[in-house]
Amino acid sequence: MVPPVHADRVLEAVRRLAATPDPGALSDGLSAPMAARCLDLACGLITREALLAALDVPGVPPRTAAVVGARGVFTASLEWVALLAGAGAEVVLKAPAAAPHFGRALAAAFTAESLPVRCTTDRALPDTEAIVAMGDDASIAAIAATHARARLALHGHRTSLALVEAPDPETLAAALALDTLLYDGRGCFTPAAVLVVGPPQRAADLAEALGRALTCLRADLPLGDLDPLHGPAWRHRTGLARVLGRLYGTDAPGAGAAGLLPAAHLDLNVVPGFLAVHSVASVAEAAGRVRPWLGHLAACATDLADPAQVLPLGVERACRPGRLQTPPFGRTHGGLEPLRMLCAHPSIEP
Amino acid sequence: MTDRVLAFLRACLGPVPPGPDDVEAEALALYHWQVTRSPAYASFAAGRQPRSLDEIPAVPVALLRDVPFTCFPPSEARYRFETSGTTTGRPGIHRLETAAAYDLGSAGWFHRRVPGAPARCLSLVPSPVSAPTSSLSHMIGLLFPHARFLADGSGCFDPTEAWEALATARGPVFLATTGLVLAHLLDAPGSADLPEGSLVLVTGGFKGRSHVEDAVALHAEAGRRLGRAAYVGEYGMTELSSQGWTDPLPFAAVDPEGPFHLPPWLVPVAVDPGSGAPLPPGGRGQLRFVDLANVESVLALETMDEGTVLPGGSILLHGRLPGAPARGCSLTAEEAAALARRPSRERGG
Repeated sequence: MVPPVHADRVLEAVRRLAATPDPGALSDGLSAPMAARCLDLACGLITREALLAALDVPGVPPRTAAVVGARGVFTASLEWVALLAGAGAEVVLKAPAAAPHFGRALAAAFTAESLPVRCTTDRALPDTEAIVAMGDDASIAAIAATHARARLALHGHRTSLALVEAPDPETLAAALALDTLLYDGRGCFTPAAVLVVGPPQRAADLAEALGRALTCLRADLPLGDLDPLHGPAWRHRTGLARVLGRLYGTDAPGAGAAGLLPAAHLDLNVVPGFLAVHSVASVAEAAGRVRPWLGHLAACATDLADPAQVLPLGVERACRPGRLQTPPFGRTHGGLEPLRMLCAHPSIEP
Repeated sequence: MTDRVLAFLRACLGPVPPGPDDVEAEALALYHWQVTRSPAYASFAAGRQPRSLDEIPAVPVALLRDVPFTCFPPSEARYRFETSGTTTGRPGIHRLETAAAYDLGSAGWFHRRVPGAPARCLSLVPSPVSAPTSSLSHMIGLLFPHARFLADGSGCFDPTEAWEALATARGPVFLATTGLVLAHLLDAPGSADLPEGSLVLVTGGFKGRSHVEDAVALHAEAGRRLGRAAYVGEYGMTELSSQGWTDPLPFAAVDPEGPFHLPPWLVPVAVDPGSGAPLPPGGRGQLRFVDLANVESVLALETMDEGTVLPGGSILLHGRLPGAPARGCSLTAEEAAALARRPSRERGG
């Protein structure tokens, strides 16, 4: 059993971080309202109950750990730092060299509570007992190869989607619009497409509602800096929707649009601000459509009565629409609590 | 409209070519004609009414993988030029009902830009008979009706045979290659003392593929082993009916970026890739083209190439946009080499 040695101080550090006056400056180019909303959501997930539960796992926690953050979801390292610091580890946070601000603010918030969290942008990782890393698949493979002796929790690139029946398109569209726009579509939990099970008209109705919902929500959560390379992808996907289906929403890249497209044109590469809607006859058809992405699917939002119905798709996580970007703190990874993966588990013989 | 465009192309090739305003007027007229005949282009354009050439809705070339953009029933296409399709498994298809505009423009502009090119051609790209879906093969067959084609339909050729043909050539030769084909030729032992007046066509990029860093070294090697042959670069793509050409140059003086000189009816526009907005003159950006010779398909296309439009309408080609998938006719050669298990440079051959 890991004693929750530093839970109070972690919670205070998170509260301190949440009170950062200018979240936009920490966010690697999100708009100020978007950054504030994302930071608020990320910090809000770390409650006393959730932290204590996440720390309550068997094993010996690491004394030292490194957390490697990637560009994209700027708050992604928070949950891991909170968990490891809470378990008493000395944490080195490797922040992206091009976007170090959140990492520095995070380290400062924890240091202010006398928790040993240090931020660096050095490429070389220190020797630590445990490493948590997020990044592109090549970076993850490199870390796995060079730090094989450490206990590892590695997270490469993944993609997400939604599988729904959409009996109430307006409510569902509002939830999916939030999933789509939060973090400007930079993370693995951004849905790339919605598969609508049932009569084709359901997909059409949802696409139309999504076009409205995305445009409306974008007014509250303005687009930040958009990678110029998303422009061509946006024009391709919206063009495809105009020609082969129907486009709802705005024409400017990232501004918010939904495209009704034949399921044969399913593409799970995210185009920020764009959500493709496809009609499928059954969950089985959906599973067949997503098969090319098997092994790269992070999460699926669903309104099916039993969320477990989407598991044939091969996703690692199933949740309700509107909750894709706010996974519960301490959720399992591959069936294991996150801290358990990083603990030593020696056998003890009396 | 086809006859009208053909007449315009002829005028552009004449002694007093039309000016930019005439090209723009012709392009706008062609746009309005195309959207009334091409259901796909009409849907894509969504009723937009361009007032200038750079407002003409440009179709991303990737859409030609999924949708036939034609002003005639697609099933009636007599020509289907296909991209390699390497990145998606689905090729982009440029369908033509006739090749009249393609042929008139291609031949006319080639002879204008490369006057005195040798009539004798050795081609290391397939013949149009063995590779009917290759626009490059079509062009070579058009420009050199008596060319000797040394590559089979999949792009494979025997380097020993190629070197022997080059070494025994009498008089100046036009050697048709792509960048990767030339690299594979030079991977094999051999040399040829090609006489003055010989030209080596190099088209297709290296960007994103195995020879990115090798273009300059490749040209130096070609200069050493191909006698007094000069280099001429071509910029073209399956989805365009028109091409740009560099000036013929000694290999030692080649800049792989160009400039490529375009015909008056092929108008480049550099745009900000993020917004799609046209850049100020001289800006480096994503290249779009308005090609009047695409009379029966779609005249405005958005490529994934990065370039700079120079005063007068020539372009510098910087390569693919960062992160864009590799493509182009050079891929066929690389794939063919892999299939034939020839040693590549990466494998130390």
